[in-house]
Amino acid sequence: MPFDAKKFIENSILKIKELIGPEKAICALSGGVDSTVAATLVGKAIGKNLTCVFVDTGLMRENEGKQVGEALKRLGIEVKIIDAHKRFFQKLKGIVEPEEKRKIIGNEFIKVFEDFEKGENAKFLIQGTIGPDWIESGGEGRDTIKSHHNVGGLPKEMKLKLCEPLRDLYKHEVRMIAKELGLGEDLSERQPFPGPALAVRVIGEVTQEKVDILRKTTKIVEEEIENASKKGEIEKPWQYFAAILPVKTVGVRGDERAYQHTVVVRAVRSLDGMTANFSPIPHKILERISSRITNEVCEVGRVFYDITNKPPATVEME
Amino acid sequence: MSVYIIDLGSQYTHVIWRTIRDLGFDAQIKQKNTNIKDFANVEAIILSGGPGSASITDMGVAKEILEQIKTGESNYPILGVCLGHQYIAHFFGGAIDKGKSAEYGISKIIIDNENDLFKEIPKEFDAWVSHFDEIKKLPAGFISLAHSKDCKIEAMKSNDKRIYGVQFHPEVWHTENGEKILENFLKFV
Repeated sequence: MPFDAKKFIENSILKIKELIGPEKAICALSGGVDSTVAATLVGKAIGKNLTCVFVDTGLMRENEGKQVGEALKRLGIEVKIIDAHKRFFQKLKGIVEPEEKRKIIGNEFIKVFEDFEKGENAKFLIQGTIGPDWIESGGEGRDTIKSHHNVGGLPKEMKLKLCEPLRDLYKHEVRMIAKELGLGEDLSERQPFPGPALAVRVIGEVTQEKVDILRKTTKIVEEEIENASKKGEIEKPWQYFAAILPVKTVGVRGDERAYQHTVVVRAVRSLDGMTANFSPIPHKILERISSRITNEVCEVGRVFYDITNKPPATVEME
Repeated sequence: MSVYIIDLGSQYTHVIWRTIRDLGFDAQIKQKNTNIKDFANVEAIILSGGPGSASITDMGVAKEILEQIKTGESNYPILGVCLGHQYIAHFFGGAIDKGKSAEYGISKIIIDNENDLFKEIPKEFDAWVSHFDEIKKLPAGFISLAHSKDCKIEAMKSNDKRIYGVQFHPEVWHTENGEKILENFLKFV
């Protein structure tokens, strides 16, 4: 008996109606498939009592805020964009430890929502939390692998009550629901993107300089992998991205010594994110990626490809 | 058929639940502190994997269930996965210790003894594993069913009770035939 998306949608809408009743809710959108599906389900259940918010943390990919707003508008979901990048960079200053980073981001998200909520009078916060988020965040005897910002990163005392309609699902099931809801392949097949965004792909302290380098690098990795899979050169990986390491390495550019940043490219195959293997990307495609990065992002001097599976690694590096 | 999964703290407990639900069984996850009386009408039990050590970690209701089976008070079919597999061996008098090498990620499983658990499964298949501890010595009354390059006992069963264990994770997507192995356990026991 495979997962029945249609039945899930029907049951979920009934449950949300019962939980939220006549109250107002705000939904934290990231632009990914999980939060968009959660928002759509809640929108169907409570209609105008739902307000959707996209927090621009300054840690997003290129044009992400704009794309998200436009994509959701097409679905009839109005999104309010809050520019909060200053608060996030300020809080992350000097922070190196990955768990501390994730917790700071989770806390700050809630503070932004609570500040916003004062004018809205909402009682519920809708999140697109799925299985791996709370499983990896630990509890009930499980070790904490990483605190997902929407679970382990939440403050202990919260004014808003949580509503998480996708809690028991995994990404592939959420994609099935997205298709059933008619959200379009752009959205339903969108690659996963972590809640703390590029902050967990800047290994070590998050600075504006490193986020800018990583943003440019990420765009190249995404373009090259998407092109290669469109041309049928590779199977489209489950997730593909870049991270920037806290080390510089030596190189030579135009007969001059260079001492520059190091980035890692990662691409993995998975179904549900619970296990993953590194994608066997052909060397000529890796070479294309590496040449473009070192030519177009002049601050980067060296590119690595991550060949570790999950376990023992995880998909993201922090 | 009602199946209880005792959660020993695995990242994959919920994946076991999901896989069994998708196979059409009525599955529930139970924490270690569940009262054994709740198990009265259960038809099969799965012990999940988990962090920690089979010989040190407190196993709560999993221990009580195995004690009932030992005394003959009950006769649940049981499948242990990873830590659950090791705990069954430890409980019945086997030995657990660190392996020569750890096994994380992919591993080739070689079936040595065909039986109900591996019915219609190829002799060799790729499975996903995540462990350093392994069973060094089987308890009396158990036989090994499969091995890998670095781990001698990748699967075992009891000669006279409906007890099975697998060191690898049949529930995860990367394990070939994993769903079939879980289905075999639930159908044939």
